Amino acid sequence: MPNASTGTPAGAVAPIANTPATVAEAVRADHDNPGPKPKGKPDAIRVPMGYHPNPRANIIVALTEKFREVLDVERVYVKVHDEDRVLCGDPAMTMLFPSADARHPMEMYTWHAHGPKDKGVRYGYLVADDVDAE
Amino acid sequence: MAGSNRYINATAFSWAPLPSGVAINVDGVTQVAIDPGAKSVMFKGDGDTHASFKAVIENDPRISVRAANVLALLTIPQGVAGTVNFLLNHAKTRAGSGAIAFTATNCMRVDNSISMPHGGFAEGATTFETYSTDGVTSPISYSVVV
Repeated sequence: MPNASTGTPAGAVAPIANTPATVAEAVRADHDNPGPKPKGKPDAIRVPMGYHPNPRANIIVALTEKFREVLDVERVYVKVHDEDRVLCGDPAMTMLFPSADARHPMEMYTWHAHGPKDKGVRYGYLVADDVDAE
Repeated sequence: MAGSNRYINATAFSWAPLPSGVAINVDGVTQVAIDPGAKSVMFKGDGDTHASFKAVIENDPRISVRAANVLALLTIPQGVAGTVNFLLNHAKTRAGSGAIAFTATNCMRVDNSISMPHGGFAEGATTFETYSTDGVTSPISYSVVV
């Protein structure tokens, strides 16, 4: 019996609707379920605007002092992205793959919640370069 | 040491072509300005007399610098992407801890004007425009020297 909703003959695999909406949904699903947290130091850290590890100090100084060793970098660069601050050792970091890259607009990092103690803080790990080979 | 959160004098201004060219150092800096170039849209309807919704939809950051080293500013080519670095000194420690280091990637020199007043120092005024590598990440980042 053909599938009534797709018109696909019985036994055949329904074609994948490769529209921007479905691709975006798939990418979003991948990032909502990024799998187990990788080991090792994160490549970037994303903190919500309301997060302040030491309210007695300037927030950027406090974030730098708290996360410099975690990132294992000499200097922590801060960028404002949406409603978060993004900390990274590379001032040229980008949230997405560059516009000229075939993987654009996929995210450059997979983001993992750091833990209940630092609510809203997420550690970012660079997506492996061989992601297309999977 | 950044207790006072007071800053003075931008120094160590440089521009280097991407991906990793030799930096052009600009000394004699008298002023640096960062303009985020943000644009917002607002909505109001029905009986609204004020905006009832507003969103920032665009950012187009630019950096301008004024400096006495006119020759260095003239050396920066127009329309070539590079990286601008400069340091905003902490008012107490001066260039030591507490200073803010600014970095702007994808920075292109656009305008370059020079004033040469009689009996006064010549001064160059250069404007850099930026673009984002991925369309969503700001090309400008900053770091506090701790």
